[in-house]
Amino acid sequence: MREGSGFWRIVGMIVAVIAAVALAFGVAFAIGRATKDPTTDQTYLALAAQTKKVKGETAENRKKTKDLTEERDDLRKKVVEQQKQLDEDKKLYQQYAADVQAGQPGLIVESISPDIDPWYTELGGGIDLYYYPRITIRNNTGHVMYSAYVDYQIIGKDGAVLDGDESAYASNIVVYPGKTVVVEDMVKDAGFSGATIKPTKFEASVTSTKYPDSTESIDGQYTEDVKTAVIP
Amino acid sequence: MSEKQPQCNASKTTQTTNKEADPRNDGAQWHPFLRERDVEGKVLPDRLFDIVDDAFTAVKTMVSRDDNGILARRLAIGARVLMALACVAALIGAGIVGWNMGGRSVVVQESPQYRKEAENLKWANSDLEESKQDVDNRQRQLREAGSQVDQLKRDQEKYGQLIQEIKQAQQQSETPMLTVTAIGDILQQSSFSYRVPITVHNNSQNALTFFEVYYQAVDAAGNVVDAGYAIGDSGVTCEPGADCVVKTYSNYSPSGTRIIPTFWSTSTASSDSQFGRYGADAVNRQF
Repeated sequence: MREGSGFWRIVGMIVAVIAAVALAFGVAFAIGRATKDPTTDQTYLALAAQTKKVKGETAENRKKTKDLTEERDDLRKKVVEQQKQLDEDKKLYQQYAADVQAGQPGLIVESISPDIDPWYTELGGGIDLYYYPRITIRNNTGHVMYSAYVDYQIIGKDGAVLDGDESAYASNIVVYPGKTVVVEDMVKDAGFSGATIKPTKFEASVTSTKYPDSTESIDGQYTEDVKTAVIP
Repeated sequence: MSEKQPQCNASKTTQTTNKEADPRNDGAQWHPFLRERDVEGKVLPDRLFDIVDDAFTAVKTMVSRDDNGILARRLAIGARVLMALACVAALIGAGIVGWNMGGRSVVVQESPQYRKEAENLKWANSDLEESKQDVDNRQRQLREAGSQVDQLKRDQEKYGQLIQEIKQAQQQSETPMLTVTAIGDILQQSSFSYRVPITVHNNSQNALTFFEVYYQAVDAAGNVVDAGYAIGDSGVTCEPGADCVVKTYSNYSPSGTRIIPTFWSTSTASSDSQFGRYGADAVNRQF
């Protein structure tokens, strides 16, 4: 009996200890579960870090967007300014300029008018006869032109050169590209009636491409198909 | 525990085998052992063996002298204390383990905090996508504006040089000595002689013995149909600050054209000559 009660005492004690441990475990488990702060968990922290990283990238992108927006606005302003400038230039171009006609000389002969001295006509002769050849030329130099010279010959009906060294000119003019100008000469008659006025070469003074403040010379020869006029 | 075990064994062996050995007789060996050990200078394993051996011997002695059972009672009390400590340790251990497991049993992914954070991440990702699109948009707009600028530059280059020339031609070359202040009516002298008086102002500090204005007659299309010069009457001097008149002379009527002053030329009695070009803003007149 004594041995039996000792045995049961030990069993009881063991059971009591196990129960106490189990209770402690259970209570601690419940407290641990209840007091668990998920925000301290690695999973949560990793998630929060990811959120922070994404937000950081977003903030960076927004800053970049802001900078780019400023850059874009500046560039757009520039576009507007340049467009305005271009429109002004185009207007100016349309008003004053023209494209160079390819394959044509710098000064295109448009027409030749072999005028007679009006005094001679007025008086009905009795004085020396002078012709006033007026050659209308078109500025095809591609530049603003400040003076123009056209050398011409007077060729007789038989093809002989009656006068080979004449020059019609206009100076101190301002002729925009594509516009015409009249160059004039005065030549004393030497049996020129029926003869032909034929331009041979030209020379023009235009804005220098190297020095905008000064001028440079452009010259060239006329070909056989140049416009001519017969002196009445 | 590992030290305790051999002690327990030792106590058993003492009871069974060393009963005949007189502990008192061992006293001769007991006292001088420290001295012997120091003198002999044994290697470490040997010393350890000695220490363990000594401990066994000590326990044997104590047990063999425990005639009243005092030692046994003390051992029993010690065992209870140890048991109680073990129980407390078990409780604490169970508590710690339980607490940890309780904490771990919570599914973090399903906690409101985690869900909220996950939601935050979702929005943050959405914002990030949007911000990326914004950046892409801006970059595209920049490229567009850039190509527009390039195109405009190319267009301008097409006109550039000539436009510069035209602008240059429309600027006066310098402040004119003679400013055109008025262009008068056509004076027809005869059937083939036309004159137009032009009033000029002498801006110079000198009396001008020669003063001249070059002009051109321009039609509606901008073509120069006639060009020439206007000069003062022979022998007339234009005083400083005075208004003087110069007259054109041409066989052709300026009617229907615009008279535009182009250049000016002056000279003094001391042959100081000046020459310059008018700007497009010089006074002109449409007939």
